Amino acid sequence: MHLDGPVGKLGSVTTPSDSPPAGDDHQRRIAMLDALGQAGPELPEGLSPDELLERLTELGGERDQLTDFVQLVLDTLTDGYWDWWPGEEFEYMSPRFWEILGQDPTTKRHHPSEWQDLIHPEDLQVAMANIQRHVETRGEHPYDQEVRYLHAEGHWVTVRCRGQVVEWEPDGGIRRMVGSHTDITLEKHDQERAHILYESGVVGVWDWFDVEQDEEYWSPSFYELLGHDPLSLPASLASFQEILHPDDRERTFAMVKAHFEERAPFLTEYRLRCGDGSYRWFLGSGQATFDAEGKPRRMVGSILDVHERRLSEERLRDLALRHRLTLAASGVGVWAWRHESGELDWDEGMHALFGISPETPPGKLMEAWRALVHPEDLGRIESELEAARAGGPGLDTTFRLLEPTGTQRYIRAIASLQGDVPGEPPHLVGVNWDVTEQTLTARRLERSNEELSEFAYRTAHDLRGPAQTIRSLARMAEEDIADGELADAVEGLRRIRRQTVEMEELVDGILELSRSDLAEADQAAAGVDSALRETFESTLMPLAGDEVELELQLEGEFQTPLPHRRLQQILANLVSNGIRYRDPARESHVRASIHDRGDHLCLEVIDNGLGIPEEEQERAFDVFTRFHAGLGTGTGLGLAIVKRHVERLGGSLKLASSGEGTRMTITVPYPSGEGT
Amino acid sequence: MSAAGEGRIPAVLIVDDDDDDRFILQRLLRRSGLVDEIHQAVDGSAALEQLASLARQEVTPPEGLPPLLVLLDINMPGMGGLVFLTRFADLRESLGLEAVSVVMLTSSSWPRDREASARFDFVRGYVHKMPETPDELRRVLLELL
Repeated sequence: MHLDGPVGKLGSVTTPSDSPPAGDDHQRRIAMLDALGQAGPELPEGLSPDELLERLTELGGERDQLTDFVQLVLDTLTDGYWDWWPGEEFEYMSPRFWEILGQDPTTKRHHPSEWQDLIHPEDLQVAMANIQRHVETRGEHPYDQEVRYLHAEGHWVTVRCRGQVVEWEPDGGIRRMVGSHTDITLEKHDQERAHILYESGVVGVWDWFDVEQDEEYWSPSFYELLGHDPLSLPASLASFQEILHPDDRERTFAMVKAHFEERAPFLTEYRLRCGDGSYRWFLGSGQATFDAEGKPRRMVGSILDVHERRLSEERLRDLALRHRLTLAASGVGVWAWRHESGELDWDEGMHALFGISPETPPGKLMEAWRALVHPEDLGRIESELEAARAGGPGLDTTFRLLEPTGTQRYIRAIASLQGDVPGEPPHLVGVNWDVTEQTLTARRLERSNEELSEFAYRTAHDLRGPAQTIRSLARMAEEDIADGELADAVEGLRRIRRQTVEMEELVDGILELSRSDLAEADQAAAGVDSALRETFESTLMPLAGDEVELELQLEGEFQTPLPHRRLQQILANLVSNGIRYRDPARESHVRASIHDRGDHLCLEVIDNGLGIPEEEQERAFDVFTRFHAGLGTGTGLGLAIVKRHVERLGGSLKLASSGEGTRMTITVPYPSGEGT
Repeated sequence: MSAAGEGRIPAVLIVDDDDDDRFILQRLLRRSGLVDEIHQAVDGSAALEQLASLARQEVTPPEGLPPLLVLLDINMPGMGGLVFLTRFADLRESLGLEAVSVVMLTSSSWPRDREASARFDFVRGYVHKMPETPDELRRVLLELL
């Protein structure tokens, strides 16, 4: 029965344009092909190859040729074909059937046992039961089922097996039955995939069969995700519109329109109203199919619940924004040192803090940063960073920046290793902020504490000294009186009086020094020149007496309000120093000049006294510093008081001194905009 | 010049800027009967000058007493006591003054001053409260020497 047909004949049939047959032959072949065409890709049920041959013969074909032809057509169809004669223990199975099962057709006998050995046992039972019913109903019950066959490679293939009895035995048994085998393994897989997808509960699938109609398919997962019931919410475009958030409607349908008209991708996020009335965010996608004219026919798509992700993102965005605002307000910069790349990652705050452009590529940041760090701190901070990066304890340090202008800034840095991605080494994440002000304040405070403690000590010492002396002198005077040595007693009392005067001067000086730190009630007023002249004439002239020539020169308008008392004390201290430390070897003079220079006041005192030794000039403005041994007078506070006043006035002070005399120059700037 | 048992220090140099303090100390020393000669200097550099001239005198002190004792104040204008100690430490040998002792006599009770002076082995003591009577001064000095 199996006939090998020449392939060449089929070729001449399917490509009639090669050499078109002429006349009747041509017409006959068209009719034959039509008959085959009516048969479709599958063998029509109930039409055996013999019957087909019969019909083709009737159409005028030559039988020998047609036999070959029909056999070829049947054998090359995508479906397998079988022809069973139970009485003769014969069953023809076409080569295609064996191919579906991955078997070599030439090794197979035409016997039912060949397929019965390979069919799934469960399905053999089904097939047998179906044949029974088909026979019992005399062909009314269709013989049609899906059965599994064992493939040569060991897996199951699913085959649709259909057939029909075409000749009956007189006793109602089967004489001949024919049928087909269709490989539906792929379709089966597709169905399973779709089933899993539709029921997954993760992705909801919708199918808008005909975009002209308002009818859709929504998968079970679609309903599950939304918490809706197919009965209360039928799958339709109208339903979708109804549950779509009003704010998202216009945008979403505009995208569908764009997809239909311009084939723009349909992928967007929208809110859908759920069964409980709340709206949730979904990621929606879809794809249409188009007809030959480019009109959309059908559209299929899916929804994915992204509500939590979307909320997290919003929370993160919100958090990041608040974070950025906080950081911006605090002047804190955040950085990360990526482990893999070794590159720095800086936020805006870091760029602002270090004054390095945000355009700087990450690979260049380290270099730019290094160039700013104070050279004395660079080595230390780099090894501290390396240690922290290598897994040491977190970093907490301060380093200095040396700006091109020469100013120093102090930066505090705190960092620790971050990251818990498995298999990825953590990277160093840290914050920096400017602590210049705190550092300098702390240093000033420290220094001023030290000064204060030294001042207290020196004050106590300088008061205790004369007190001890007075006590000893008083005891001696007592002894002298007891011994009748009255002249010695009087000398002792004279010494006591002098010590007491010095002590008073010292106490006054200390009071004056402490007052110089306070704003007090020293109101600024115009006319400082007359105040200074008054000090000069009533206090300094009597002090100088005949021994020192004093001179005061005033120049300018003196209309700018200035604190009189501070300037009077400056003048008094400088001039009295000139008088006190005069050189007895020459005629002494002290010359003071005060100039109103429009935007500042210049006060200068020049003497030709002993001068301050060069090596001591550095200490000249410290408290309790005196330079001239044997000159018992002087508290050692005068220049310290002058310095405090000048500092409070925001002015500057210059000392030039030698054995020839001393020149003190003081400049006091006027408050801006108030120059005369 | 000498009295066995009741030994006298051949010379004392008082270094103090305050005229009254020198006056008091000189009177107490004189009445204590502990010293033969009393010299005075107003600061460290004046003291060094005087020591250079004193070094030329040949004296033999009684056992246990220095040929020359310096009573030194700390806070003085010009060269202070601590600077004097440093300079004197450098010059002692060249001036032949290795046997000279120093006792600090100052109203300063600042630990820093006390520690700084204690670093010199020729500083024998630190007195920060002026003795009130000649006997007290004598006792304090002999104790330290």
